[in-house]
Amino acid sequence: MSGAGFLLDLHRCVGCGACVLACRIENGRVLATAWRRVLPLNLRRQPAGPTYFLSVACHHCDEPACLRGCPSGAYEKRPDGIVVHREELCLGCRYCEMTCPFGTPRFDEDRGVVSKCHLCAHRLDAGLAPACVVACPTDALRYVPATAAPPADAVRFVPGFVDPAGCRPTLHFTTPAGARRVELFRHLGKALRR
Amino acid sequence: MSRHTGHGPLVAFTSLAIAGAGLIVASACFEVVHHHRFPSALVAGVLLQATGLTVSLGHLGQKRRAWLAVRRTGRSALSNEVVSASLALASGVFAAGMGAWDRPDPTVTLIAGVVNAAFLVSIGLVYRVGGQRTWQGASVLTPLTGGCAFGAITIQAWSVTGGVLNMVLLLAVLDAAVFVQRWREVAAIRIPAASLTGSGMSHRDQLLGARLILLDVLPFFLLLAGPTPLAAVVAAAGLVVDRTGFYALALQRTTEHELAGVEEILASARNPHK
Repeated sequence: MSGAGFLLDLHRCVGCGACVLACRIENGRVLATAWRRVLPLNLRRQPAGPTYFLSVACHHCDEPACLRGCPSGAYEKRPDGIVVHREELCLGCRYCEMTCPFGTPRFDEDRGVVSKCHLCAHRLDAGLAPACVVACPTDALRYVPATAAPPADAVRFVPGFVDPAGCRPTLHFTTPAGARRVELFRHLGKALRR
Repeated sequence: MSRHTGHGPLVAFTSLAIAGAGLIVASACFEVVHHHRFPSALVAGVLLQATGLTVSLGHLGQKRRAWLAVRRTGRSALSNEVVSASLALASGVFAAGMGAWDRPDPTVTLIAGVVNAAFLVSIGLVYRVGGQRTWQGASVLTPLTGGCAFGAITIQAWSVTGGVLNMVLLLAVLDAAVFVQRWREVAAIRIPAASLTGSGMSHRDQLLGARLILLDVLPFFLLLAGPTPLAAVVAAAGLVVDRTGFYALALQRTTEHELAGVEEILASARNPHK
């Protein structure tokens, strides 16, 4: 991993939304502009594929599209890889909403600026883990600092999570264990490539 | 973009800016190639552009910080567009001013035409973002070709001295060719049914077809019968349909869309357990 990011264990995540709530409380977000969201896959439990939840926020990409596109330089990548948004420089043009392929930046109508997850940089600087990670009751969501490597079996992409704009997101996944599950992921991957 | 609730300001800004810049580029083409001067077209172009830029300013969440938009010139496509818009407006004002003071200069008009053409290309480049599947390829060129076609049709529509119909035909055919290529690119995109809900993609052929007829085909046939302002009105409607369709057809590959695509595959896949 080149920058700090999250590691999500798809086998452990039960989609409870505690991470979303913790993020909202920590950063004072209303639901409409929440930085983290939990997206389910296959809630109908179609037998052809696995069921899991993607708890996603900003992926603090190595090549962030938001930073590339921003005309005012409101986005900044810290030395530890965290992509922060400086609201005092934001025009509210919402171009980052167009460029980010992960739907991360959220426009706040009342304040006229965009905002997004900063990986709880204030907590990290104080030696604490991000609020969403602390709140996760199953340890599905973990923080991986820039200095550490994700587990050897971690993967960067799973069905439903791709990198269409070459941003190189730092989010990693550990997938459900067992050869049969791995086969299902491969089967889905082939179908998506077609 | 997928979460935008309304594209009205963007449609208005780009329609006005493309129309204005297109008028100036077409004026330059007529003046350089055929030595026909249309000073009123330059003035109209400048006014349209200025109105478009004002609308653009109005859609910002923080209008007082608008000047910060040039901070990343050369690195951000949006900064480049802001700079080229300013230069295009300034060159247009200068060319229109020379004409208004009865000192028309073909070189000044030519420079204004080139700068405005660059501005139209910069509009196309702003929207060439990774992950936006319908804003790739030929769509980068449609502001330039569409603007030029609109400008030529409008000048011809109000021409009392007799415009140059073959130039109008050339620019309209060029725009139609580029736009048909865009249509083919959009038609080739596979879209999950879930992503079609509430999206302009379910009406893509109607939107794209209306744009082609209104901007390129119908005005030309109206002009064949003689100069008529109706041709310009129809072309303007085509330009608005073009921009409305452009945003309505936005198809961003967000995680939500990707998951919808996987769900669709799962629903149609054979049961591997059987």
